[in-house]
Formats: sequence, structure tokens, C-alpha cells
Amino acid sequence: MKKFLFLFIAIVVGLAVGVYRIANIESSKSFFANGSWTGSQSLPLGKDNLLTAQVSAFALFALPSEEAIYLFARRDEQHEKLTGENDYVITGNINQIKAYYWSITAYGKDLYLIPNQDNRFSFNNSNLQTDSAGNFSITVSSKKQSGNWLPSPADARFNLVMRIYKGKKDFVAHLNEVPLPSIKRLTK
Amino acid sequence: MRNYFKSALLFAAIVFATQYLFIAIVPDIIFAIAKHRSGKPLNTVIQAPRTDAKLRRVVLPNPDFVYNACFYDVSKNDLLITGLFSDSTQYSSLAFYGDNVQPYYVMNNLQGFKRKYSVRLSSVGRENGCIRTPSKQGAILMRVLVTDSAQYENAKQLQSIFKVRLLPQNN
Repeated sequence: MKKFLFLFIAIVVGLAVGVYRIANIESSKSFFANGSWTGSQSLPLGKDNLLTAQVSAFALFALPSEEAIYLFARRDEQHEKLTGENDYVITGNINQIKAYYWSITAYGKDLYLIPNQDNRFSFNNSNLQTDSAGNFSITVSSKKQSGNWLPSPADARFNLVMRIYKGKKDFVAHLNEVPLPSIKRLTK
Repeated sequence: MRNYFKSALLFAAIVFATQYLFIAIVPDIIFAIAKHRSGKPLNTVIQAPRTDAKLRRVVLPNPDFVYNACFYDVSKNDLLITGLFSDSTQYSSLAFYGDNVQPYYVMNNLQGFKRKYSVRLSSVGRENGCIRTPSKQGAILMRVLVTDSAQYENAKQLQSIFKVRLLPQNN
């Protein structure tokens, strides 16, 4: 009985370590960080089991890097977790992301789209309102806002995902250092 | 003291082996769940409605895309996949995934492929124009970018044109 308990606990701890390692994408060596955004340029994944598991869990049926890059944000610029209790503003310039198509989408903690009356889940380079110089700001809030409003859940944590399709080679190669849209907390 | 050290070492070894194996099989588990959740037989085209918050089959769906999917099994048959890409003003692609949910081949309408496509999928090496899958089972995903209502109408047409047919393996 003692041996069985010993084995059972060791397996449970092993599974917990596995889950933790998969969930902890921000500290993965295969991911780069740029401001609030975390992503990988390493798809397809080859023999990196951990990265393969992470991408399978967080970006099921993702495309290879030459096709699309996926960047995740779980925290704002102050490194605080994104939560619907706060409002945020995402600012940038539409021309700073050099790609055929790019978008920023909000997802709940469960990684599904956040239900809202406007059926607004994302903004992309075709539907963003910008000024004449291409500057934009997206307000992320659980309450309806004017302009580019991206609904967040009322009191729960959420994630943002930026997709970059057919990015220009130079841009994609330097994704870890090029200016990307910033995510700033507005209220607490 | 020696027994305690041996037990600790054994415990650490089991923890290490378990987490290593778990991480290695997670993609296969996720593929099995996605296949089961599709609710359709293998080698059948799944025409997904426009993505919204009701979609709960796949995590992180992109609301700007319309999808067709097909979970395939080429252990007994090859597959013939036919369809049409949109013109270059509207991104569309066909991506092939193995049973570890990793992509091994992608075609899109911006790469110079002809708009009308017809490709054979097989688990054994064949002539040119045939895509070889690294696993007997996997998934095919057709994506069409939709940024306005006209593009949505076009995407729906492309969805209905997309077909997957069985071919004899010895053909």
C-alpha cells in the first residue's frame, strides 16, 4: 500500500510539473518577448516536445511561421495580468506591422471568444479606425466605448492574441525588437 | 539515511519520467479530443459557420476566418482534395496537419498556386502532385479570410466547392 501511494504521488507530481511547464510559456526558451507580447518564430516545431505541446495547447492547428506568427499577451506593460476589472488601451500605428493581414483578438481565460452584444471579438488592419498618420488606439473594456472598442469579460482574466499573416521577412526576423502595439492599463 | 536518499532519487526519477512522457503525448491527446469533438466521421468535410463566441470546438478561433476542416485517415485509402482558392485580394489557404497537430504542408493563394487545386494525400510516397502525410491520421484545414460581407459570400462559395474523396491506395 505504501509503495502504491508513493508511486501515485510521484505520478501526480509529474503530471502537475508537466502541466506547469506547458502553461508557463512566458519563461520558455523557445519563445521571445517584446513588450507585453510573447511568441515563437520556430514553427514548425521539429523535435522540441515542450514547444510542440505548448503550441498544441494554446494555438491548436497553428500555421507554420512562414505563413503566420502568433503573439500572446497575458499581461499589460506594467507586467500585471490582464483582467476585466481594468480598462486598457492598445496603441500603435497600422504601418508598424508589415504584413498582408494582422489582427488583435481578445479571448477569455478559457481561450474562447468573449461573448458580447456587438459580436466584436477583434480588430484587424482592414477595420481599425486610425488617424491620417495611421495611429490607432483600441480600448479594451467590459463596458461599451466609442471608437475601436474591444470587449473584455466583466471580472475575469483574459488574453490577447496578435496574428501576423505573411509578414515581410525583415519584419518577422526582428519581431523580438520591432515596435509592437503597447498595452497600457487605464483604470484600476 | 541511505534508504531515504534512494527513495528521494526514485521519486525524482518517476516525476521526471512522468512529466516528460506527459509533455510528449499532449499533442496526441489534443488531436484525439479535437477529432472526437468534431462530431463527424473521418474523411468528411466539416463546413464551419462564421466564427463567433458560440464556437467551442477549438481554442483560440480566429473570428476573421471561415473554415472547412476534415479529419482524415489514409490507412486504407488515399484522398483527393479539390477546391478553389480566392483571388489575391482575399487570403485563403489549405493546411495539412499530422496526428501531433503540427503542420507539415501549406498551400495558399499568394504563393503562385493555381486557383483551382486538386491534390492527392497519401501515407506512401507517390508521384508529383501528391502530398505525403507523416501519419495515417491528421487534419486538413481550409482557411478563408473574411473582412467584409462580400468576402463572406465568396468564402461560403469556396466552402461548398471544397471536396474530399476517397481514392484506392493502389491506384
